[in-house]
Amino acid sequence: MKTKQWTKIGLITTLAFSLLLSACSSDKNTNAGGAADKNGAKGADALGVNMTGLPIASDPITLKFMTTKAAQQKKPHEEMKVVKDFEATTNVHIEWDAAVEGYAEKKNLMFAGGELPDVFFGAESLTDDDLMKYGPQGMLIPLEDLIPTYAPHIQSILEANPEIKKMITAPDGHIYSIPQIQEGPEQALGDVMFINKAWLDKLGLPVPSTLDEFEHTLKAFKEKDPNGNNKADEIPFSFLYENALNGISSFHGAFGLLDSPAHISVKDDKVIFNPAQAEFKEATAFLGKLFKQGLIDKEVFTHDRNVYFAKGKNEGVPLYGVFSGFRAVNVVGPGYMDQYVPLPPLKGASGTQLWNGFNPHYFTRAGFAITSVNEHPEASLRWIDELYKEKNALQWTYGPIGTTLKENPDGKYSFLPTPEGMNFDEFRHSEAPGNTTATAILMATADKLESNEAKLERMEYLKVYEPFMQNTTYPNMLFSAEDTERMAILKADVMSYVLQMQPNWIMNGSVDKEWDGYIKKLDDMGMKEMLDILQSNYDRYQSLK
Amino acid sequence: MTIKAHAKDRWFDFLNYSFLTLLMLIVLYPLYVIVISSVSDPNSVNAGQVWLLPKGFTLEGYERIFQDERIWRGYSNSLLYTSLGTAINVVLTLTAGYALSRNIVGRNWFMFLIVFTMFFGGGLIPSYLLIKELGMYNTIWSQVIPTAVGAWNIIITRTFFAQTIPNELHEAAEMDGCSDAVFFWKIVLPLSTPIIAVMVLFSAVGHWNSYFQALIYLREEALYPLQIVLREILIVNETQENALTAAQSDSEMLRIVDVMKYGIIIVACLPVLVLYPFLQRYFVKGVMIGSIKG
Repeated sequence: MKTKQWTKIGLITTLAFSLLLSACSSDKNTNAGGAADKNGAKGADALGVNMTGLPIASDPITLKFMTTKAAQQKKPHEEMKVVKDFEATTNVHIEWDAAVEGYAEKKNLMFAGGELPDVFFGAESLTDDDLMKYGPQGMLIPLEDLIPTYAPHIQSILEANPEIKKMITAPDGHIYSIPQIQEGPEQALGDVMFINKAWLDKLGLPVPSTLDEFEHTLKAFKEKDPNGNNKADEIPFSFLYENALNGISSFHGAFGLLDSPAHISVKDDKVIFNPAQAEFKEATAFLGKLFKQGLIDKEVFTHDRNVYFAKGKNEGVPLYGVFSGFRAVNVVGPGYMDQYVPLPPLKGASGTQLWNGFNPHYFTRAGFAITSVNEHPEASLRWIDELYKEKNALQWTYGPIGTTLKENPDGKYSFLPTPEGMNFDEFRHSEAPGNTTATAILMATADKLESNEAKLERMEYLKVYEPFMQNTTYPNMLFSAEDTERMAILKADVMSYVLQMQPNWIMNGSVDKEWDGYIKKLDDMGMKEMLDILQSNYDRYQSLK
Repeated sequence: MTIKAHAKDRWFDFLNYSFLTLLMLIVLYPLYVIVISSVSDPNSVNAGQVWLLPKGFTLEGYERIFQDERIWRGYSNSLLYTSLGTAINVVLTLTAGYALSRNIVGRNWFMFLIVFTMFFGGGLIPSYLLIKELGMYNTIWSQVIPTAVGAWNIIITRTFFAQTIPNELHEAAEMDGCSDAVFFWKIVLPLSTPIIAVMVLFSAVGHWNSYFQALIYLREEALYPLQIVLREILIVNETQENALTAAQSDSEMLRIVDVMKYGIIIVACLPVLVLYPFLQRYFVKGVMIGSIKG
């Protein structure tokens, strides 16, 4: 009896507390929402912001930035040269909250607890979901009206690149973030297929140009011991399944339809789901044929990147005949990389030769977003506008001039030598946020930067594939929160079914027999609705200005 | 004179020993592989060639680990949190457990409150806000105060005291003019080494391994415990091969992480491995006694 009473009291107390707590937090949210209006109403002159030139503020301003941090970065942001220099010229002091690990948890706690920073800064500091969830709720402020006045430089970037403006405009018409962009012609190319030229020469074979020749070549690799160790240890063909840079998306091009990691492409303004196309079936059947003869790595569906790379760097003799990768050196190491050459797109039965071409940029939408608690949105925008100017952008990405970069008399930039005991990435992150900064390095700026070995190599590959490149990717756009949610549900079913069936067919065959049932099942899982959502968003995107 | 073992007994012994040896190998082998992997060429490790002896012997991993100041800072932070946290834990758990094992006023009410927390918690966000409002955010207190006592540990210690320290002992001591505090200090504690050892081990291992609290409540890197630093270093493995990092170094970075990976595991496990043998003889005793309902 007594315990029962206590239990009751306990429960009531908990209930009361939880009510109290929820009341508190909703209170805070309304406050946060109110702050935005207050700021919007303030006149520009009363802000203490200099409209042009530097410093940005006559009286020092302090802002709180939440940012991600590259794992290679060892110094805190406050102590880095580019940050200190920038602070000295802008008169804006930044309190950095930087995390490598647990960033997502911290960010979510901040939104949930209503304790927001002034700015989310840096590549991938917010996801698209965050933008579409917290933007319309008023926790991130719309920037499109402020940009023309306070960020003229960014405004001109957007005017010159309408595609970028379309990509950052939310379905509700607002712009909640300024993107991080890094352009370079070599970035139009994704995965590259490499073939072992030394083996070809040894066996007296030409570089294969059709699917049939490809099959014969692989067979020869398997049977004729091209690595010369008297062991049948050659792996004629290997890749990482479902991987953007080490996969077989572009390989599908030989069958007339380029695949992509998202498995969605656009042809003549029509959205297509690749795994439901006849070309996909043919590609799968062909891969199955190779697999059956032992021409594809048996571990292709199970090995991870480490194992895939380790096999490439096998001690003694190389194992891979053909493999897919971003740069040969990453997969097979400096010892064997010279044996491999890019394999031009194979000709399919109908003579099609295609390779994936992408937009020549690295782009993340949320490079810089201002929250509703920020009392200086104007100054914040002026700040980021300064950072997007060429010299600052380069220094925040690649390190300060005089430390890692050198400015040449002809207006170009080259890299200073990396000190002993450090690699290039550690070096460029020693005095700059590097990877996780928010900047725009557009084609014109990229041209002024000395090409490093990696870029030169990629440019070489590009020459091989460029004539066959076709960009069929679905544009990188923002979906409304509802569409995102619906898509997630539909995709979870459809994609996992596809990813279960294709490997199964490749390993065990019988794709022809089961294909009709597979299509029917995809229909039942809502493939049509998925395509409708994608198509309507695509149409909206096309109509944007 | 010795009695000759019966043939069946010898068979039994033989099977017993073989079975236990096999079991031991199963347990030891993963540890052994980590040790040899930490001094092997990472490429051979990934290719699955290291399974009996180290291949391509190298100490580069350890060199890198010992050079990395983040690891040392994390190490000293972890030691601090562990020793401080364990001290707080043990003191609070023992005193609370002892008090609750005696006939004090409102004992059941306190017990109810304590047990209640085992089933109902505020959840992550309220806890976060609480820590923040209490001013513990980004201080070492956020690492040791929120977990200062565990309800489960209190129950174990309470049961232990209730069973091993009879009330009559207290009455006798009281008759000789002994106060409660002196009784606890002079009589109860010396009789309770098993439970103290168990509590020390429980909370020390808990503190050493904990990273989530640090993840949520710490902002400054100088305060990060070892576990967070380890994640930070190992997570480089996950870096995308994307255009932004395409500048020559990706594979180099990967190699370094690979080379450090197993060494880091050993370095991080060391304190617990060192502590355990000294405490494990109390372990069974303490837990078993404490776990029988009294």
